[in-house]
Amino acid sequence: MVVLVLKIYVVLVVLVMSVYAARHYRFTRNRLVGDQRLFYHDIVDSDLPRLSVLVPMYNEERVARQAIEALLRCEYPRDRLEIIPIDDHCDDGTPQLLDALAAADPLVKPLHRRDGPRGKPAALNEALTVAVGDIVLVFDADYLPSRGALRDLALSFKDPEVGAVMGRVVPVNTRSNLLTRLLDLERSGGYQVDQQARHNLRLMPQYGGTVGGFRRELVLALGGFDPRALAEDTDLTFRLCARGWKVVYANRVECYEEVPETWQVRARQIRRWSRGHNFTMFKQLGPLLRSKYLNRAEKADGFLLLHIYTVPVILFTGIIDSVILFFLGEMQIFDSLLVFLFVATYNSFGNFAPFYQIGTATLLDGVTHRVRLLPFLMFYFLLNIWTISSGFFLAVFDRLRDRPVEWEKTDRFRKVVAK
Amino acid sequence: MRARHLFPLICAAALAAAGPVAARAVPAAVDSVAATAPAVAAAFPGAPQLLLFVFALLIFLPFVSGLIEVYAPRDRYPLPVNIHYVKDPRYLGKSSRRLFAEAMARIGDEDGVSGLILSRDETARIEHDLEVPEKTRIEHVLAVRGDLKTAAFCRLVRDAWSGGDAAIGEGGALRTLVCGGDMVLADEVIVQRWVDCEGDLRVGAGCRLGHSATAGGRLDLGAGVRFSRLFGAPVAGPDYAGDRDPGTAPVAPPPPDEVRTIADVLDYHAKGLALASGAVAAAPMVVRGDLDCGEGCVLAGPVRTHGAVKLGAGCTVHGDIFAEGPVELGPDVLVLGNVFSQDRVTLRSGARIGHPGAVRSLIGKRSIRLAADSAVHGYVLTEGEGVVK
Repeated sequence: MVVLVLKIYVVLVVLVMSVYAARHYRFTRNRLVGDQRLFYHDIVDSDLPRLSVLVPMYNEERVARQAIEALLRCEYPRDRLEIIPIDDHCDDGTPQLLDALAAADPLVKPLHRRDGPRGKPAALNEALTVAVGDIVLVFDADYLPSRGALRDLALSFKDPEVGAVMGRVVPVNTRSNLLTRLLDLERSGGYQVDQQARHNLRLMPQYGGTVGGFRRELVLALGGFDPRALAEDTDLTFRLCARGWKVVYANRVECYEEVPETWQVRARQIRRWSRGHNFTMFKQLGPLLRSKYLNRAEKADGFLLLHIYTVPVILFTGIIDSVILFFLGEMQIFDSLLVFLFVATYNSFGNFAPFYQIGTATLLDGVTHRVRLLPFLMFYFLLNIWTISSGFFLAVFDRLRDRPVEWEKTDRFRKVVAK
Repeated sequence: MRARHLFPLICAAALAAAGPVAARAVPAAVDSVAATAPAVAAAFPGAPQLLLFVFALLIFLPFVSGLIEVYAPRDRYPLPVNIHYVKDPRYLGKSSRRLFAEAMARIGDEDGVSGLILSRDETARIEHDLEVPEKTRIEHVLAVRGDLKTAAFCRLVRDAWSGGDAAIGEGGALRTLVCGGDMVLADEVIVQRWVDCEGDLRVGAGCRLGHSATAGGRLDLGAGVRFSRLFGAPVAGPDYAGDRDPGTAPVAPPPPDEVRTIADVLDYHAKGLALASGAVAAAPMVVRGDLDCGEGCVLAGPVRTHGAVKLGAGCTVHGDIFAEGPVELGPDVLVLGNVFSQDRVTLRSGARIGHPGAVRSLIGKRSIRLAADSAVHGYVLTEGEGVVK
């Protein structure tokens, strides 16, 4: 009986992997030969909405100045713009730095938080109460937006159905080591193909919490961000979509970010993402499936998107399962299943972006030689499968105990900019 | 060599070594290989080990090109992001005008054929004013400090710049033309790339406008003109007769205190919607089907549809229109906001988009058709075919 259950589980794992492989194949095909939707940034309009740009920060003195100065260089009517860096319980030189930037330019209006819980959702909630813009854009402190980024993102909200928008993130420190180069490949696959294809196919692109934005009044009316959510961006995506609004993806709004340069930092980051995403999965699965504003394709894509940090756990346990069956001499489930399993596994290397998706992304990006690093994503995959699985179980405990989570900051690697 | 660079090599080598090592540690593995090919194993005693070695080699093989990229990187820089990029429909004209102005300032006041440094070294024909006779072909870059005028059927093979006005005769062809004053393209002129002028641009019947035609002032289009991108204040079809008063926008109801779904905030329709003639819609509207408005409807806007939009004669929309399907603006329709369609857009006679003093966009992915006396105050873009009927 136990052997039978183990065998059935292996077959289920293979089926799950096949579904995801087919999903990514569809995305890749769309980007290669499918219809590409125009995005709103092609619009030229002299009337732009009032904009509040929030930059949550916790001990960001290494990167804060560059981020704020990049925002100030953006082309947007000054009378319709405010920049609110959020000093979220910083205990380094960040508050003084922000005050100095504010003294130099009245557009910069720092919010110093000393009370309440630390963390991005809580910080955003407080900032939403002081912001005056109709549209709120969020940038992380290590991000360097291009001059047209604010305008291109804000234009999306001319469409009354758009609740949130997401731009593209491009790693800037690719030269540092192999990990940053692998993360660059992963980001390419995730944005250039995955997000854009979901936008083209009118499925469910994801608001990623940075290089993106939302309607302020709407988010306030929905109760703000859930302070328990580590993945407040995913949480907002599903809350908006289930209630009828759309999340759109702006591939041309590109923004440099700094990616982790050590495997330990990356492991902590992806464990936090997994914990937060799976917490959201438990919370939003019901509303997603019950929503009357989503069609079947959107629900199916949303379902698969919600489980994207659950799949590595399923795969991990599937591999353990197959090892047990191997030593029990019970792997003769059906011919070539094992081969199929590992092909399916290989298809999922990277951050759930299979190799053909990443290859296509590098092709679309016009870069060539970096694609030769693709086989090394296997080692990155091993890191992912372990850390994501641990994040999943943390999320399960969070859900069961309803315990508060503590925000973990991702370490920065940029040298301090003296000025 | 830095220690961190050893990591991928060690990983790849370890993976390749794992096969034979495992085979020695687990004799059953060698046995199973031998069992799969017993005849080979009997004839060549070392065959199973050789097969395992080949297996390990094949595992290692995909990493070879990656290792080369790690140790001799050719593509390690970040993806190029143009951090200075700002959307400007007249970017080409402004950029070219600046290049020519800088180059002309360097060469002084001399005319004739000489070198001119633009984005690269060029051989240019430089004149104060120039009138080009009929059927002349000019092979050089052309830089005219004053006015440029060509007779019929002339061909400007390379880029051309005029500091004053420019007039291209009937049946002419040019690559790019930028001028500091007004520009006139007579009938049947073919633009291979783009044209831009600081003043007004008048385009004759049957012209083909290449990649873009932009003007700092008004852009008048003749019948049968084909285009991709246009910019002007306004972009006007033949016989443009000015704008009408939009009237007052209906006042939208205040948003509710509690918002649970999109239907609490917007005028939401899960399927198509047909509005009778003279209907007034005050709230922003989302229609997940087609929207069909009778004559004289007034919509506060913005309007978003998942299907087609058809506005009857004399309708007024005070906001933007976003549609997945085709958009048809009937006679004398006025849309004060932008019109954005993932399909085709048709403007009937007298239709207007935008209003004087503001910049708006008409974007139709598949095609745009402009009728006589239609106008767009601002930008027009299609990836398909734009045509003036």
